[in-house]
Amino acid sequence: MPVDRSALKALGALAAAGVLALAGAEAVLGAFYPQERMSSAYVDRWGTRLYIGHANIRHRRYHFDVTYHTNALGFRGPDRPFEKPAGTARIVVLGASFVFGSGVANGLTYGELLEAKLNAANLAKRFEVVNLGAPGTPLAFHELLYRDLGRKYSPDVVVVHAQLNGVTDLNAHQFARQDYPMESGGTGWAGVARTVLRNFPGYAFLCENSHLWALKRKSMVGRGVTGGNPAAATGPAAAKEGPSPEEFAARQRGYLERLDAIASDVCASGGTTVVLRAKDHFAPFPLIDSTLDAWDRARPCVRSLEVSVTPDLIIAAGDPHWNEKGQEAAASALAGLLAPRFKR
Amino acid sequence: MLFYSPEFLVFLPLVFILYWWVFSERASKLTFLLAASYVFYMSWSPKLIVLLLGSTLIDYFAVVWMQRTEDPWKRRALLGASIVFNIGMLSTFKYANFFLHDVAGPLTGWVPPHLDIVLPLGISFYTFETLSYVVDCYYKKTKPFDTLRDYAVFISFFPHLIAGPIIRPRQFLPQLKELRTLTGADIHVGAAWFLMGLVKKLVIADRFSLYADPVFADPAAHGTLAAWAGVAAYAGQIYFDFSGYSDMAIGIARLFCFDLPLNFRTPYLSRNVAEFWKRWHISLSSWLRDYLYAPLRGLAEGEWANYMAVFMTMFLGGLWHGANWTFVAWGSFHGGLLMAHRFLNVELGRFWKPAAALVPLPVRDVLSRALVFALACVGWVFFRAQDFGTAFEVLRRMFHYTAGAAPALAVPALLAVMFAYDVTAFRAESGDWDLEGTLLGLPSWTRVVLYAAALVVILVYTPMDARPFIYFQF
Repeated sequence: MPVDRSALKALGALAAAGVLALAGAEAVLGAFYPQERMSSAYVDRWGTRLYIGHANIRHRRYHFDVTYHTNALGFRGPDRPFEKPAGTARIVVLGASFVFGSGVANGLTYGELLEAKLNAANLAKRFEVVNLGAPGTPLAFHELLYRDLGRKYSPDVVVVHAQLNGVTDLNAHQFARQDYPMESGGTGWAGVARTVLRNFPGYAFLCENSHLWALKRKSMVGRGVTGGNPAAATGPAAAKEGPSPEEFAARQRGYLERLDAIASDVCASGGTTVVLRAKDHFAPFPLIDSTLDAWDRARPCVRSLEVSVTPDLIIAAGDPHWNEKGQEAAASALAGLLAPRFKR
Repeated sequence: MLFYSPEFLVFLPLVFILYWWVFSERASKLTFLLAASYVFYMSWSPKLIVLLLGSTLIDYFAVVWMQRTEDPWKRRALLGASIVFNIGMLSTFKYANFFLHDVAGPLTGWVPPHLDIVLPLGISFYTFETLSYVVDCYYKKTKPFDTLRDYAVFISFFPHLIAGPIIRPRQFLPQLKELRTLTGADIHVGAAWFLMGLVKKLVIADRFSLYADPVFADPAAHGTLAAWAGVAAYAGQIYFDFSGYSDMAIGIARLFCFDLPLNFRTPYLSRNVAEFWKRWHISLSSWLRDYLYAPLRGLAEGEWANYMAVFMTMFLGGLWHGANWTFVAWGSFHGGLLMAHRFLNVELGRFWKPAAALVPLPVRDVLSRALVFALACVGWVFFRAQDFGTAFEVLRRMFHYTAGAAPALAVPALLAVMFAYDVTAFRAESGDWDLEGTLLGLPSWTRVVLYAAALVVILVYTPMDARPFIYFQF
């Protein structure tokens, strides 16, 4: 065997270094960057994890360090009864991390800003905005959430924040509970490795007490499960990892069908659906882009609203969520669209 | 399977254990290494293995037939066929849309269709390796590989398959003939290179990108200082991203007792542009020198032909990086700098060199290094920008003073880390400090602590959204 005995000693040294490194990382994180434990609850019906009823979720990444409050249902914003108070107009906002306000402090999500703007505008009604945004979730989830929860709030307006989730790399079959990456540990080799690891005795104990693990878990709060990379569906990367043209068109149609299902239901109950999207965000998806514009012209109860997003409205290039300015821009655009409908 | 992905961290130990402890004969070891390398390649795209196999087979048999004849015409025909095949394959898969849309379209007014062509990973690198093999065998500068398997291992050995270093047959053939015994020194040195590469890539390069990306995303929103900081951050990012990858490749290869050549030698400490190209992406620049510049230089006599050969080499070197005019501009910029450097030294040197000699050497060194770094930064603007509009806007911000927010302090801090590393590495290169000897001379526990410290830095400071290696796109 062409292996010198010194090689075995060296491998032992590497193994020891690995164990020492894990302990060292725990010590460094514990001393300098203590991570609060976060417990998330898996909601079987919706196939996702939600951080339910937390007074303080600290979400820390390289470009932000903010604290969230989540309500009893696991969303941001105050707890609200389903029954709508008299003289109140309700706006339900459906979406993923942009609606949740990843990286944005309490009080600065566009749902909260919109509510403040409309209530300050001396309109015919009081306004309540119900934020139902959950990071990393696709439109299929938003549709389900609308039927299960959104309707119960008797919304006058439903804002659907159209993001790339659901068109690019998440679609209906991935949304099935058993395949949902956040729950199963992912697909491919990494998923298998994580599943094996999760069945390792002592895993729960080690993870529950690990700052390193808490840090990793927290990265998932804002990142979601998709990465949401538009280039995955078009451009050079498409050839490598994106869908075929037929599948790509089918995904766009599927996306529009779900959006239509929500909008039709809202229309039937006398409400208005606003499909909010960042300008040019859907340029790689011409079918969706043109259909939304056509709906805006042809369907009185559906409005399509585009928000211009310049780089200064983004948290950082590495984490392209809307920052406080981006949230403010969205709130202003929505307030501008909705205020005339509720004039005294 | 990126070198830092969970999949690779399972793949590598598995292949390492099987290679050293299950397969004992040379033949079985190399067959296994070849199979593992193909699995590694197919983890990206199983279909594209066909191109790698095709290229391997064609060039191997071209050389076999070349060896069987002394007829110069037949040998030349085989060489020509191999070159046409390799360049044709590279052109088709990498440049077809570029030539159609950016060259033929504008010249003829024709609106060509967009071809649905996948860029096979690593094609630019393994094509150059197979080409160098055929050319070297034609000129009898190297011996041919004994078996197809050995040749296929040379081409596909997974540490260097995707993004180099580009190795030459004469560097690898002797190592394949006599497989070495694995020692503790190999593991320590391999692990040290790998960890250093990980720190460079995950902790520093990806962090640099946080400050470079916004400037290139919207240059108009940044003032002059921020633009310079963003471009310098990109200079740091691409250096540590690519040299980090190369270090990891060298480290992984060493775990299998193979030595890969150094790809970077403190390029930002170069005192002139010619030196920069001897220190930056060395395996590519030396390949271009031997297989492109030398033949071009031989086409005509005289100094003017030399200038043209230099420029064309850099022009084509730029194009090699990507099918975009911005890469061509980057290559041409460096070609122009190399021509200017030569002209200043050869033609005008007698006028300015005596005066320059009056300046103390340390001052000259610092000034010339700063100038080379600044020029490299200007070049990176074309390399990084998506289009010329962005590139010129960044340059306008850099050279036309515009007030704006101060750049993040992290940029100079990261640059200080980068230059501190370079100064250390420079000492090692100069022979002042034997890093490998120092590492192996340390007590065992000290090495364990050093590895653990590197891993702690990686675990704690790696950005959550690590990016793919920049050079994977080429």
